[in-house]
Amino acid sequence: MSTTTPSGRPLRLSVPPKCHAPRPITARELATLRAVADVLVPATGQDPAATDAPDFDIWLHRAVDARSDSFDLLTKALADLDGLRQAALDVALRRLHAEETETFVVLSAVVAGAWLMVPEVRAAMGYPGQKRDVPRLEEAADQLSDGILAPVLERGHIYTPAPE
Amino acid sequence: MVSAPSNVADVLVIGSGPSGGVVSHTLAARGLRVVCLEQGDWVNPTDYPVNHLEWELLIQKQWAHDPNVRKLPADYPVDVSESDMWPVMYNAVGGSSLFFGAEWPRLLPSDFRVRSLDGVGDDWPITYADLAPCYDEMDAFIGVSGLGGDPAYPEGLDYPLPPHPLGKVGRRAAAGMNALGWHWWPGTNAIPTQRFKELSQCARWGTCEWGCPESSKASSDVAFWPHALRSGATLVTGARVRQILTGKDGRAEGALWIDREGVEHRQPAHSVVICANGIGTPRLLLLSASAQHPDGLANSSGLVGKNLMLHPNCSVTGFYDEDLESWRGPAGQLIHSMEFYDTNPEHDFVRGAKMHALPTPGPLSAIEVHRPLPYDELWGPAIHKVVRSHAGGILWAANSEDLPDDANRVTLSPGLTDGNGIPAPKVQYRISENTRKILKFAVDRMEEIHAASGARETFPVELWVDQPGHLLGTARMGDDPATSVVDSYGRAHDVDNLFIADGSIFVTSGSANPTCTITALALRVARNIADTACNQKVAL
Repeated sequence: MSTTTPSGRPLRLSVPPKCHAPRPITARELATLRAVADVLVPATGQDPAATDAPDFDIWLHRAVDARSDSFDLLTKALADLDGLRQAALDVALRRLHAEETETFVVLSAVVAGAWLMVPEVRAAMGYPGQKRDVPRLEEAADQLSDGILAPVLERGHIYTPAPE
Repeated sequence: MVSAPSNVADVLVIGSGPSGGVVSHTLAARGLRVVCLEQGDWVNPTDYPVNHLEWELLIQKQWAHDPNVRKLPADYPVDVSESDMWPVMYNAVGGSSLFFGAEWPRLLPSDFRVRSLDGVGDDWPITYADLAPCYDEMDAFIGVSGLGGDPAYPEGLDYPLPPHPLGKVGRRAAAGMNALGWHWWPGTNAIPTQRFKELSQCARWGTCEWGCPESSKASSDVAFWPHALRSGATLVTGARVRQILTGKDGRAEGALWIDREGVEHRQPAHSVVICANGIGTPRLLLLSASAQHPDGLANSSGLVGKNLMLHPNCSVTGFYDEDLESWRGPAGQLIHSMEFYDTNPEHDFVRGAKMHALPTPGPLSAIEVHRPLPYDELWGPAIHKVVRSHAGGILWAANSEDLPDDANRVTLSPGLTDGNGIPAPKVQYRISENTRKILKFAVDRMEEIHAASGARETFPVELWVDQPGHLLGTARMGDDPATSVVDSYGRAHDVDNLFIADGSIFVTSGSANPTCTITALALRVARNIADTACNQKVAL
């Protein structure tokens, strides 16, 4: 087993390396990913499309890096979907969904994952992200002090005695 | 190449997870020279995926629970070609506790007497009362958070730290339980609600099962290892053990291990304690066959690797119309229920399941839960409604008690090897009819809970194929050497200076999350080793 990474850094045995796609996705691949996003996460009357999100392309690149484990699967799918107009793309994605589940799961995870990293999108859906959120000192007690446990306590012990 | 023998250890511990951490600390503190070999290395709090905005993508592969998916250098493959489920583990300092949810329920008194009470499985050679002092001591050492007085347990059970807030998720789940008249209790977690020794106060990041960036979860690397190292234990990382060595007298003499450069070393020891989990431990015992132990070490009973129990999990995720702040931790159990834990004559199965309610952090996770829906109900215009549901999720999950069955077992894979060419473990596990009935029953009850709590829609999963991290029973304890591998102190019947202190020694599985019991047993094993050190040729 080599003890260094290809870049010469010490190999970490229990931590995955920083994720980077083997190569940057091309402009055509990016355009296809955006087209896929417009089908999977379209604008509606009240919600903007994923591709309307600020700096969406930057987040797409980050999502591709994060799923670099499936880069070949992803880029093959993008090659197959290259150049399709929206109606044909919708048909092709439905076929992938039905028949090539692994490919569809990766493709949709990258598109949705990119979209859901956009700060403005997270704010709009009320997702603060995972963060430090230390409770108030009395929070646990407050949440138990209104009698919510009373039915359990009134019932009494329920455990099965066991012979020694 | 075999390097020159280093100093002889009084006790060689193999594996640095919860049991290895407890054993190493306990024995080092008693003055014994402890060397622990760990095939992984340290993971820093800043390494964990939640430090990155991409965390929900990173946990899909790079940080997956399944070593066959993750494929890190420290991992070894697991042959699951003949298994209904794919056991998971983590190989690092702290072991699988890096990814555990830190749910900390004890086994119940009935768990130790399943044969006597229900006529199935076997009784343990110890009782709840025997283990209770060790449970108490581990709770106090770790700083377990919980509410005393749970009526599912014998009177007097209390915890050193107060419980976590129920949060909106826990209160909504509890309201449903109250409507049904079923037992629930604020969750008991090895996650301190106040700063405790090396552990920070829980900051509710919500990603407990993918590593705590706050060091506020009692994984073995932070709960035990700082104390073990300060007590003088030596921890060797990147040390993959391939064989336990035995002498002509059949006693353990140490171990052969391979470092990260591929160099083989010999670590001599007066005694050996295996803490490599319910799959790694039987693998190592089988790899250590010798002239004195032709069927594998400590295997005169033929039971090494047999009776694998995995707590098959099921779940029902419910989504509610209101904002339950489901991104907020801990996760960690917010509430748990023992309502259907024991055998009930009205059921068409024996034993039962422990249920627990958790939050559902992350909008991409909400999408993943919805994937069983038809295309048009998830993608296209529907996606916006689906992602908005992220804050209104409650996950009810259940561990089912799978009974010991010697056909469910760990052997050595005939074709699969790890990065050092060592045969991988092969898991053969089939879910019994009794377990399938428990799973179906538990899913139906969790659907009822969601209905009583007012869920808008639910997503049942009758079996989490890639989830079981509770690896139990493959070197069971007992008084009779013909029907067990170790005695009630983890000492191998066949090899009097060889011990096992992990989940392998469970006799039955219960359905309580097992790490609490694993650490209590490890403490009991370690104490006995120290108390009987002269028998191991250990100089105090």
